[in-house]
Amino acid sequence: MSDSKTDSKTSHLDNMDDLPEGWVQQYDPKSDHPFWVDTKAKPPRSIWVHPFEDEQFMNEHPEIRDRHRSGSKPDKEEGKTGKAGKSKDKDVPQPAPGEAPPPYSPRRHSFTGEPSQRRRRDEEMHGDETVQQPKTPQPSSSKGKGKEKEKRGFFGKVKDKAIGTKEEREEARRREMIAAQRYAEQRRQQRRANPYYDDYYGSGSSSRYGGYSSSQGPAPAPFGPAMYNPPAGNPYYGSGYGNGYSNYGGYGGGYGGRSSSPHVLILHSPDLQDVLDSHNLPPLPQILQSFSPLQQITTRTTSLASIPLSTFALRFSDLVDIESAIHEDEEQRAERTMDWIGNRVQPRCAAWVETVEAASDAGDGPWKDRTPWWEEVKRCVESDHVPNRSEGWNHPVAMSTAAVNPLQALQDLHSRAIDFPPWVDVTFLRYSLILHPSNSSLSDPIAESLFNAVKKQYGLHTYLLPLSLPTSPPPTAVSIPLPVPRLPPIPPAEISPMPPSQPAPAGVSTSPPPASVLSPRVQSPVQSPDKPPLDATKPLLLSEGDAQQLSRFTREFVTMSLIPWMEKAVVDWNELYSTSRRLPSRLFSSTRRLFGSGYSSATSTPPPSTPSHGSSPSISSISSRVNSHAPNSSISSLTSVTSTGGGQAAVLVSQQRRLAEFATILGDFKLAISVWENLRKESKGGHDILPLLLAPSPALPLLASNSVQANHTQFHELPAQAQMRSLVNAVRWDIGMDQREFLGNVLEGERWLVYAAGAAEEVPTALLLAHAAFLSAKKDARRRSALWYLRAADRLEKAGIKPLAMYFFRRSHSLYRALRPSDLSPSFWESEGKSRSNWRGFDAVLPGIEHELGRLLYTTGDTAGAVQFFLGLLQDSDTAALTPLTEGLGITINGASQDAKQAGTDKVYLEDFRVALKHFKATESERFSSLELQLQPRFCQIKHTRIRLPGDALNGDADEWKTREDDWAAFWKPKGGEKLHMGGRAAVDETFWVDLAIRNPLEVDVTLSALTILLRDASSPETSDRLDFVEVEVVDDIQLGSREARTIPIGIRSSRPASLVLTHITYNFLGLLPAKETLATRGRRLQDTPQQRQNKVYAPDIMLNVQVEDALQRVQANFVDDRHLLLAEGECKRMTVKLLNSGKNPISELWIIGGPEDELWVDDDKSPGPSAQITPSEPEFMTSTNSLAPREPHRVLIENLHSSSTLESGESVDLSLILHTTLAGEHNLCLLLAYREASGQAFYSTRLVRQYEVRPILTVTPSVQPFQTSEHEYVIDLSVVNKTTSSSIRITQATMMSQSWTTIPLTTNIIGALPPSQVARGKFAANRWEDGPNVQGTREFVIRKLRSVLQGSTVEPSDPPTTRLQCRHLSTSDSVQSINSPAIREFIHAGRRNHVSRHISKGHPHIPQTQHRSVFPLYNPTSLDFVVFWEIPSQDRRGHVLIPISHLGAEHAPLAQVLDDVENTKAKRSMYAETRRERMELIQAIKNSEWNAETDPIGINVMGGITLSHDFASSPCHVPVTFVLRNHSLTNPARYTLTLPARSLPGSSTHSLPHFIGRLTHRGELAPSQAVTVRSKLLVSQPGSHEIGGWSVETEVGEITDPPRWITRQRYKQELSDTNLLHINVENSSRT
Amino acid sequence: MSHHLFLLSPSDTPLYELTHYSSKPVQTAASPLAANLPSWSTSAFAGTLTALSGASSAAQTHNSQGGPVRMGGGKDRHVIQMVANASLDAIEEVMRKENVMYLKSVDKFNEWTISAFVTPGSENPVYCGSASLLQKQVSDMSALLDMKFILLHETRNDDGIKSFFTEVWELYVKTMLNPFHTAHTPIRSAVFDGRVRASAKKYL
Repeated sequence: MSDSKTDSKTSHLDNMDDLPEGWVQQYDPKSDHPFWVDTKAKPPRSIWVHPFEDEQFMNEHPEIRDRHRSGSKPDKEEGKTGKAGKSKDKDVPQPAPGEAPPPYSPRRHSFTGEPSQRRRRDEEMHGDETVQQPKTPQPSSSKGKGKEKEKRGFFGKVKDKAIGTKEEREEARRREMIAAQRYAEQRRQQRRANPYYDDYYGSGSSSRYGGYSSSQGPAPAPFGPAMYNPPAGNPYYGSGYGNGYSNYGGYGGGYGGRSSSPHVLILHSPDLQDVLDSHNLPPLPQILQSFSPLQQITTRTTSLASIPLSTFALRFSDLVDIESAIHEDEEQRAERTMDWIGNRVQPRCAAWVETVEAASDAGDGPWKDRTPWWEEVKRCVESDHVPNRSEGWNHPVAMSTAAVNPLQALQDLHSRAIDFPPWVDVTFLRYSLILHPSNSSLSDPIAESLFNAVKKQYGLHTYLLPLSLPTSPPPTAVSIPLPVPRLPPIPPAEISPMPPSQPAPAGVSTSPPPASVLSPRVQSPVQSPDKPPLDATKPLLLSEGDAQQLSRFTREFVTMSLIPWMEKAVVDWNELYSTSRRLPSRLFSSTRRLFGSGYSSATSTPPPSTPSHGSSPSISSISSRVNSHAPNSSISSLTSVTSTGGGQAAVLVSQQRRLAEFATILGDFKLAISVWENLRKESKGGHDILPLLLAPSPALPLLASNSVQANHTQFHELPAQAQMRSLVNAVRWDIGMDQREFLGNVLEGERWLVYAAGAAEEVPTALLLAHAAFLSAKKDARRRSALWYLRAADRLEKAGIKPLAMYFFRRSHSLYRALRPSDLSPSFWESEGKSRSNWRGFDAVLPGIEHELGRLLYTTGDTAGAVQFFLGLLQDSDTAALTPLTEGLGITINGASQDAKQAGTDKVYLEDFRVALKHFKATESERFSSLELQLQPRFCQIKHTRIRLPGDALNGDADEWKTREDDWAAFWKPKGGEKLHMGGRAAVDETFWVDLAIRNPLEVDVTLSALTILLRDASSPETSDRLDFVEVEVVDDIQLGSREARTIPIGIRSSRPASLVLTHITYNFLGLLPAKETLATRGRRLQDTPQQRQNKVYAPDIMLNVQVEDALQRVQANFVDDRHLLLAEGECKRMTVKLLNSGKNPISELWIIGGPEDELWVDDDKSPGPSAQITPSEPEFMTSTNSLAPREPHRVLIENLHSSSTLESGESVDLSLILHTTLAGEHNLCLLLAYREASGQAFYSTRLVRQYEVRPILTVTPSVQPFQTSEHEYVIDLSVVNKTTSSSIRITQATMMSQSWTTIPLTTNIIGALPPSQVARGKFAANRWEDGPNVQGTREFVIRKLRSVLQGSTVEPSDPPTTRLQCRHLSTSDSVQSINSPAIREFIHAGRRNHVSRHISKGHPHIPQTQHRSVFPLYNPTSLDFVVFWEIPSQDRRGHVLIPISHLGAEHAPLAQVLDDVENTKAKRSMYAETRRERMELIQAIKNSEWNAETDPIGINVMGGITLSHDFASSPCHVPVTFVLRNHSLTNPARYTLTLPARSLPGSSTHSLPHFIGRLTHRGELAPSQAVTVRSKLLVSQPGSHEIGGWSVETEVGEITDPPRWITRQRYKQELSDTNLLHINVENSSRT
Repeated sequence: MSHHLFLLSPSDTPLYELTHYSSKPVQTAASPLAANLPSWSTSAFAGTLTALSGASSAAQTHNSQGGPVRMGGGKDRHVIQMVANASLDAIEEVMRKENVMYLKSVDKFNEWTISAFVTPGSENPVYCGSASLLQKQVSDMSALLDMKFILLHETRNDDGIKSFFTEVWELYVKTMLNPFHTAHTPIRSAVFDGRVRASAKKYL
């Protein structure tokens, strides 16, 4: 070793005069190493390398670099063409014989030439991290030499004038010495053979690609200090990944990641492993891997343009591993890989999720742009190093062999048959590395000579690596990147002890001696505590010197052997490729394709020409003088021989693809793209790589999707492999493309990942989706991101990776819920009172996600969270905001409505909830109580919930009770005005009920248990819900079917008076979850003030409350018979009410208040009514108030019912009531009982309700006709129909009542039994009741009142004069039902009142109802009422029907005067059309009313139907004809003129027709109700049947005037119509 | 071959949704991706396929037989809805750029292609005045503006879909003539439903 350094020192010292201006060369005796100082820099910069090899210098002096490069070409190539530069680069170093390569020997490949440049870089970088100004390479030792340096710098200045060529010449000479001639020669020949070569490939466009490639590579990353920093923060994630991946993009200039880098296989002798083991070192591939991404490598394109690559990655692996792995079935391997990735992700994802969530909480951090799971997937995928059939990236490009017994072992290794399947491309470079540990038994010179021998035998790809392997106390551990995760070999497939990879990749490895510089980094903790167990991998305990050596070797290996070899391969293959593309060969190959030799075109390309050097297989033997094989003393040697032999057969990976890959690795994108394109066109791949190389364009997404598609078609039977390839592609895309472009609108790269993910339910593909979602979220496409997260989560859940699945579900959930900026107007939301933040959108989405989350939480043990989610899922689908439901909305397919589906989900949710809750309660009861879960759906229907008091009407409208109480108040006010305590109070110690309306909002059966009500005392709002003096019933178990509604009574009993407020109901949902629902309803919306109108203000909540009071005075009233009542229409039903004084004080006064229309008689009068038996023949008279006044409350005379006049406490009486029904239908008899202890006290009330149903049984139809003769005025036909189908009804009595008419029954057959569906008819004659009461008073009353109504003045409240009615009875029995018996009288009055009231309300809607009694009398003078009494003996029913007949007799518009006045007065104009219209309607209604009837009073009747016989032979026949004329008017006289037609009929000229003879005009005057008979004669000239008509009556109605004189009030003329013809039938008796 | 129609209010709340199973013959595989989707899986749950992985094939077989419907549990439904929701991202982007009503195949999610119909919208509706008075008007107006109809379909059928959308739009406008209908009201009219179904039958 010392030899070599001395040599190099001298050689460099020789070069002193070549230094540029300002540089001096110095020599450091301590390290035995020359160094160079830039004296011009401030502070002076010292470096270990020659300035021309120093990149910084070169970068600062481009002109020197140019000169240095260009100048060297002619110089070194000695007249070769300009391409010489390239061949120079391809040279293999050929050091002078016997001279070991100096450790800092110049590197020739890149323009800066020397590995030491790289060392320099490292130094700088470490300087960044540790020492701020690392300008001196050896801070510890260089101090004393500072002055010397400067002095030398001065010398140097002079010499540097002649700068430039000596150094290059030196290099060139060395290159010259290398046996590169053959290669150069070959190139020349090629060029000669192909004159277009330069034009074709050498055109200037290379610069374009060069530029492009540099723009793609995220160059800054590898140089960032972060890479080299000791782990900071979280040692695992932060630095591990941060460092590990920040330079990902740097690999190969950013075209697809690590997996597309040269693959070096190492075969080593067994003793090497022993050596390494004994020093606690990891296997050699791992050691070398840690030096992998080399910085600043320059390659050459085929056109010899140089391409600087900022990093260059290598992969090392053990040949034996590969050999064993490669024989595995690829499909199986792909599957295994998938599973393996899943297994790696699984244990760690929980920690990842925590970290990421913590980071996102903190704002940003390392995980702002990355996700650990995706990084993991990337690393795993990238680690794939087993060659595969479809692509060549993993095929070995170089093989190293190592041997034990130096020469023999080497030979063994070289001769070892490589166990690869035939499809592996065996075009590779062999390289030999001899490891020479310092403690080897061989001395350095021996090793040196051994190396020379090996070199002789195996060619130039040989290297002697002296290592001073650490001794037993390891010096310092150098942190190395942990090996990339590798798919474990098959047998222990389930065990994957692969260590997670660790920080500090490559490039870190070597640095110049100063250990102090390195120490901080070395000592920095490598492993984080929370990291998964780091295992078997040994730390790399290398001394600095060894590290440096190794790094130097790696660089040398790459620049001197690998890259030139690859470049050469590219050139060779390109030659073939371009020749094959020339026309003839293309024809040739396409013909072949036509003939269907699919892959043959790939394989048919001629075998690659053997690179000139490295004969294949160049076996060499090293004669070594090693005497022992002892591990410690062994010299391990690593041998490599370039070999291109033998791999041509059956190469699946076409050479073209290999070419493209090599070109891509080398950065020759122009070539690479053209080859890839060509491959793509031949559909042999290339879709996947092209997007990485081409500029973004809309075509790229197509390429990406094609590539996925191609994978699936290519591996149709091998889906795992297809999936794996897609995954690899996706990873490459993600790594290799600039993220901004990748996510841009043109590429939409996140979709590529989704394409690649396909539909496979695998962990890696799920993570692929998750990454797509992550990228989408970054692009702000949140909804898409939510979808992909959801799908990723779905798949992960199935794969059992729960923490991550949960995290993705949450992400999806929050992204879905996230509010997007919207340009909707705020009014859009306000218009319907909706809130934007309540947006739920699609109805199934959130429940879907939440359900999954809940299940996941449950299975991961977070029962509390699960329960909360499940609880949220139980939604009342009706109330859920904007939930589309029911038919029309929602999906109705094949009749299965969405409801069914809803039921399905509800059921699932509920079942999950039940299970989770049960478990939760069982295991974590105290958390359960602290969690306070709230049930969302509401069961209680507050609006239908009622309080029911004992004896209270279940039914009965609250309004009705209110009117009863108002009626009472109105009635009692003038009498004393004592207050009525409102009803509806509960008594102390008496149970009342709350009828809870419960409805199940869910589509599934549920159970509620322990249902009860919480109460509050209104007077003390602060008291707790549980009142000790109130007992509330608890309902144990209620089973509710889906959407079932039910009313549940809950009894409450209070032991002292209070005002109770019902606040909540409580129950246990499913018997598990205590739930509480409020019973308050929101008050009405207030609209009183503008403030209230503009905002939403509601009245205070309305609570249910109930008063409980002491029962001092209390009457309980109940019907004795409480059954449902079915009554016949008109039936009088006697009912018994039991009155019980349940209070403490006696009751002395009791009133019954009924409804205005109820026909009710309280039978409390012990005194018998008019007991006189009335015979049917005699008329009876009834006096009526003739008033419409409503019924007044009836005071029950207790003394009549009871022994004393008071009802003592505890006493009860029976009260008999008779109810008369009128209208058919369902009715409620609502009676309010008001009572008090003594006069002067306030009243209390109790309520009594009876429901009854009325069915019609009789139809009574009256018809009225004027009587034929003058005997009676009218005849009334009464037909009675039995409407029942089974009951025989007995008509017992018919009674006619009127104040102006008296009636005579003409027949009696109406009385008697009436079988079902039969009709009975009765005839009655009506005559004027001469002695009747004076109805004029009634008329005047009406006229007066209507006048004031019409004039709009107030109608003074007064009742019409009383009147008297004559009643005539028709009965077959001797005793008749007296109309004057109190009950009947009351019923008839009420019936009449109801009839008139209804009539008036209908006819005069504009007259207020309260005025009716002051305007209209009960009886119209012209009216006549029939009462038909009936009974059904079989059913013991009896009753009566009232049939009012109005308008009997003529009227003469008594209101005409009034109406005239009203119409003629100048009416007050009203501005409102409505008022005017209303008034017009009012007038019209009155004008048309019965009180203003105007009829022709004269009725004429011809005694018709004459049949006689006459002997026409003797004389013409004179037939007498009698006309009866009657003045029907009850009031006014009338004059009449009866004109008989002179001729028989107008137009009939025959004399044969009968005609009147004698006086043809009759005049007369008729008093009211007077009739007159006019006799006339008819001359009939011949027998026959004749119809005679044509007479007319003219009428004048007279006014009533006090001095009687005639004033015509109205005139009428009646033309008798055809219907009233006189029929005459005359027979001729002459023949007989 | 199923279609899913969603009518979205301006607030992206679905007012109406319809699933239609077309009886028309299935054309050649619409999505090459979906056609060749692998069905392998080593996970234990491989049998239970979600809507997206196996939906197309399963749904198609059901359709051809007119058999029972796959849209059973809530799970598939929510994925379909998520797809519709996710497509809004793309639709809004296209709406910003172009001024057309019918957006054909704006987006693609595995086997689902999404077409949309956007009713003419106001770029930046400015409503002024006191809120209460204008609220109804605003609501009415916005019920017609900015509606989005989204159709998830599996095969390309541009003309048919366009005609379908036009008819649905007409039906929707008629529904909106109901003064009680606002942009927040889900459409529950059976008549509307029936007509949309008829239209779907005709065109899809």
